[in-house]
Amino acid sequence: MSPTDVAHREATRTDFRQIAQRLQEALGQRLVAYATGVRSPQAVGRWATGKNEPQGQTDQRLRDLYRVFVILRETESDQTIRAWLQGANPQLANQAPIELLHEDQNAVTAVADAAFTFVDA
Amino acid sequence: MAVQLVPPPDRLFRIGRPPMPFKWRPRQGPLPDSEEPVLEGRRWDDPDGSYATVYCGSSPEAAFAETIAPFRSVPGLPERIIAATDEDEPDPLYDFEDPQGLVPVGYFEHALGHALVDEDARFVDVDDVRTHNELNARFGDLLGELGTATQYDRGLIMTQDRRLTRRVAGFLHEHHGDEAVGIRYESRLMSDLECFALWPQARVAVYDLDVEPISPETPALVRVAERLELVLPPLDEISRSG
Repeated sequence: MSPTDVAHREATRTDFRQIAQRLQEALGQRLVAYATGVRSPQAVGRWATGKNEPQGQTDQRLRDLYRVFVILRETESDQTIRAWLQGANPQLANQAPIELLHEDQNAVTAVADAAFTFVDA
Repeated sequence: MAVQLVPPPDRLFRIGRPPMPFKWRPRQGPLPDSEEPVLEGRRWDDPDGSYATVYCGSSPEAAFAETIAPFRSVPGLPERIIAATDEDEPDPLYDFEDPQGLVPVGYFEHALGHALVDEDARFVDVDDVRTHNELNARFGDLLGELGTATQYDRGLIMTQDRRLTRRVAGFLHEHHGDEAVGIRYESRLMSDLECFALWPQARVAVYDLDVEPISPETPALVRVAERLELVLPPLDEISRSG
C-alpha cells in the first residue's frame, strides 16, 4: 500500500473529533475553516470537542485536508506544513494548496500528490 | 531524425533528506485521463507511472530554487482567508499568524547532495530545435490530440500542461532511452538555471555522491531566496531547533 493510500485510509477511518483536534493544533482553526469552506473558525473547535459534527461535504473536506496533513506530517513540522499549504506551489500551477482545497472539492488528489512529492525529497 | 544530446554538467545537485538526497523511488501515478489541461504533478514524470524520475540541477542554485519555490507568497491570500472565515475569531490557542514568504526552519533538515556523472552519459535537450524537429516528425499526433499547437518549440515545451510534458518524456524515454539517461531542460522559474530529469538508467552513471548540510547562510541559497523574494530564518533559529 502506497503512503498516499495509507493517508487516505487514515483520513477515512479516524474519528472526526480527533481529526479536528489534530488539525486545529497544527494548522490553527482559521486555516481549517478555510479549507473546509466554513465561515466560522470556532466551528472547528466545536468539532474537536464533539459539541457539533461536520455534516456532508464539510466532513469530507475535513477528511481531505487531514489526508494531505497525514502525508506531510511524515517528515514535516507543523510550521512547515502551514507554510507549504499557503505557498505558491509550482506543482499546482503556482496556486496555494489551501486555496485549491477551499475552491475545489475535487482538488484533493492533486494536492495530496504535490504533498507527497514534497516529502519525498 | 535525432534528438539533441548534450553531455552532463560538471556535477549534479539535488536537495533532499540526508543521507541520500539522490534516490530513485517510483512514486508518481499515471497521467490522469483528462480532456482538460493537467496542471498538477511533476513535469517529466513517466506518463504511465512505471519508472522513477529524479530531478536535479547543474548548480546549487537550480536545486535550491526548485525546492524553496513552494514557500513563495500568494498575493492577497491572507486577506482572502480572513474574508472567507469572518463569522467569528479563532480561539487564541489555535490562532497562528505565519509570515508569508518565509522559508520555514524545517527546510534546513534537508541537505545539498551532489554527484559526478559519467562523462559519456548524454541527456536529451528538450529546449533544442533538433529535439523539437524529432518530436514534430514522430510525435506530432499528440499536438493534434491535445489541440494545443501545430509545432513543438521552446514555448510549447514550457507549458504547464502535464499531458504534453509527461507524454513527451515518455516518448523520449521509449525511443531514446538507449542513448540518453535523462532530460536536460530550462527551469521554469529562472531561465538561467539548468535542470535535469534522470531516468533509472542514470543510476549507473551517477557516482561520487556527497552531501553537505545547508543553512540560511549558504551562499547559493541566499542568492536564490533573494531572487524569489523569500526570507530565510535567522541562523540561531536553526541552531535552536536542531
